[in-house]
Amino acid sequence: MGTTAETLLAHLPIAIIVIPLAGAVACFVLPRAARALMAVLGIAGTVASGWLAADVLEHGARGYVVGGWAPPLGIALHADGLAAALVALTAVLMTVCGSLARPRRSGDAFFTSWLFAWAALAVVFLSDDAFNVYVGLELLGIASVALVASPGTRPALHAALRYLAAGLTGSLLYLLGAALLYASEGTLSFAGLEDAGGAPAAAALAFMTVGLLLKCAVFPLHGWLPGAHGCAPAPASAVLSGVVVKSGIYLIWRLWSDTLFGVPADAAANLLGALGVGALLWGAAMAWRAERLKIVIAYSTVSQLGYLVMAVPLLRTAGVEALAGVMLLAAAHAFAKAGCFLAAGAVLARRRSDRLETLAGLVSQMPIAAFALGVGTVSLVGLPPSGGFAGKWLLIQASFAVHAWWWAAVFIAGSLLSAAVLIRALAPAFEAAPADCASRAERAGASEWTALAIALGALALGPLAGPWTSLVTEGSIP
Amino acid sequence: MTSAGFVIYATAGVALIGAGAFGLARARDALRRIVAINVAALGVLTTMVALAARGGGEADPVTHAMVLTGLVVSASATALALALVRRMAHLRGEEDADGHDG
Amino acid sequence: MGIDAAALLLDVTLAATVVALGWRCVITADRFETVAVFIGISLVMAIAWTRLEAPDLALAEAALGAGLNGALLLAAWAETRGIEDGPAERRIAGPALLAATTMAVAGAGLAPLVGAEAGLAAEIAARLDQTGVSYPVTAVLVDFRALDTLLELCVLLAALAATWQLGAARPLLRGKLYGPVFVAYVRIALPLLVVLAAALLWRGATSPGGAFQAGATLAAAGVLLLLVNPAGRVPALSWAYRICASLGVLAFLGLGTGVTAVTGRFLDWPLSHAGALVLVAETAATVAIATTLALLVVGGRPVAQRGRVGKRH
Repeated sequence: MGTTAETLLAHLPIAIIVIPLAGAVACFVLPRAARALMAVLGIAGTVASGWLAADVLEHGARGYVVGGWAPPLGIALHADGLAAALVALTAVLMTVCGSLARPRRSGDAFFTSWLFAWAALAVVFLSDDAFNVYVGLELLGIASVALVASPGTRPALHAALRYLAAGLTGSLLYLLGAALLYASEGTLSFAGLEDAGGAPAAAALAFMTVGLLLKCAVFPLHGWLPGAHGCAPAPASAVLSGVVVKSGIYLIWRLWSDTLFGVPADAAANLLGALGVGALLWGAAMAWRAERLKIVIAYSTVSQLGYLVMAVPLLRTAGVEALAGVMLLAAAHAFAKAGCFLAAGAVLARRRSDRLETLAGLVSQMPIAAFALGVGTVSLVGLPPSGGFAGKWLLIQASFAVHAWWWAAVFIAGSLLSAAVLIRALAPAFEAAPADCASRAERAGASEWTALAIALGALALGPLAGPWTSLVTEGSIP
Repeated sequence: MTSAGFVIYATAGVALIGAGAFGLARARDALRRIVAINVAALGVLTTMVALAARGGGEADPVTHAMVLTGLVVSASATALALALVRRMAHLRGEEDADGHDG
Repeated sequence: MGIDAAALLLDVTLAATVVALGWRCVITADRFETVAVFIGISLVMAIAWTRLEAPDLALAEAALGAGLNGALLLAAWAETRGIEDGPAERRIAGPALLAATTMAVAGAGLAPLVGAEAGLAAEIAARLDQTGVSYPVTAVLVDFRALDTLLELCVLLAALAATWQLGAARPLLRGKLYGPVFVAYVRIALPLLVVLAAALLWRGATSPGGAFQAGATLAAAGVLLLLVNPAGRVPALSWAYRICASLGVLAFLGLGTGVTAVTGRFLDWPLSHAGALVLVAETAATVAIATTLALLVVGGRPVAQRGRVGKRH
């Protein structure tokens, strides 16, 4: 029994990639069984990811050499705390939101894309090879575009095409960077690239970063996101904003603070930080002007991504404390945003419109959905005891520790901005319903209860910050 | 492949990347954007092939594998993009037809 | 000395042609010219890559870039004729600045690399006898970096699933599009292409070739068949398409998991059977690539046509 468990444990990193991959192919070959496959594999994938996270928390980072050839000839997987945490987050969101997905047509293609996206995320988080990550990013892009295009309406297709063009361009830039790194250093593994320096590595870092910024919609390359996340079906928007967008930022963190130490990039890191501030401000401004609830939530993602990018200079200087804070923020954002999107989806489904002026009476007619939105807002704004608050608190502490107090000011200002924007968007919900509408509470459906549960997860991350931060900093940058 | 050869083809690759960037920034419709991205992709891949052919020995097989994978992957993505373009044109044609009758 | 100068002249001409075509392609205002010139670039690029000691890449580029991409672009151009024509684009300064910056950074990154030795060729050559094949690129694709190939086959499948989700397949072209000359050509070309594909697959273990080139060739044969079909209809063999398109991923996953029991590592082919395993995996990949690429050109889910075909599209 012991050795079987140990053998399974040893293969966990590749299993986490293979399980959703096999599921995606199975959904394509057996279209009638797509829903059942999704459920079974969701549970299997979540169990595997949770097991890996528990193991990494106890025993430290775990590696896996694929195909028996160690780098630089082959590909290795590397599961440290940060990767394991993100993989677990992905599994939970993918399973929960996937169970709520009700594709009106072509269900088999929808779940195929869903599972491919999951597998691709696992590749991006776990792979230690720059080119393997490229193929994973492309798979993620195509699967995400399929999810955005699934409603089949013209706005959805238009948004999907914009997303695809941005994603393709971003991947191309990333590929150029990876090629430069290999040509200069002779290896593609991130571990082997730690000493990379010189003009080729600097150019590669520039290209890869711009490509990744484009792929995860960081200001000023964010144009495709509001349309894509606004038009996609609610469960898809939930995972797109929750995890897909974070995959690029994860790679930026890795490139800027975990490898390529030979590139003198401190000044450029501050430039990235400035872009983060821009994202925060611009996202808030556009969310203020938006007229649909889903668009407000999408622009809020643009804004919140600013925090994650602002963390780059902090990660380079403050190290582990900043990592703990930013991952708390990322996880809290994932849960809160997913909850908000699912609730908005329920509103859209029930009322046929999510325009802000039609939200009147929401609190009395759909109390669960309104509550979910409120809880999500608490975390996004960063009020205690939510995970958002805990994350920002840690980041403020980290910025004081390295005497960069201006970041603290930005975090606090960002909270105020988010509060203003989200309260303005949700204020109509508290008004009384128009006289001709019923004001009884309607029975809440599964999606509303799930939205509330996920949003409460963001709230719970505050008290539960300890285990999460221990996992995230396990085996990571010193 | 001599150094002169590498410089010639690498410069061609970089020039194509520039052309693609130029076309992408200027493009107004989806088809030209897709072609511009593909031109830039050809530039990136040519640069990689030139890098693989440096030096006196055999060409580097890892770079060749990367280029082949990149070719297939970008062909798939282009196919999806063009399917989206065609589908949108079809929907627009249907809407116009409905508008005519209705 | 004379041969070196001639080779240099050839290289300069090829490079200059490609660059000129590339810039022409993005500058022209005529959408058809954009597509046609792009097909031209792909073909010239294939020749250039042969000069750069990459014959198998040239094969793949000619088949995929010029052939399949070209067919797709023409189909998309045909369907968007007249819809997208708008006022001519006038902005120059911004895009030019973007292009110049990109080229400058790329050039700066590439400059120190002139004259250096290329990467891992020697290490891979030293270990070829531990793989099942003797051609380095195939060895890298199917043995050293098999995970990349598995994921790449998944990318193809994901693109196909996404395309099927968009709706039913519509005819590529309207009206009768073949005459006796074309049919005669296809009658000759089709068996030649199939034999060529089989040869490329078989010889991929020892010389330029392999699953991707073979698959792309077969896909081209499939597209020819499609064009010869009246109204460009595709038979609705849903199960056959699903299984054939997934064959590559299924083979890699199945074999990869199977060998885990033997060698203890995913996708680690045991030396004794490596050659046979690689051949099986590559054959499955060829079938998958051919099916997927051909169906991507079709551009939609093949459904059975009901009712009269003649007047409706």
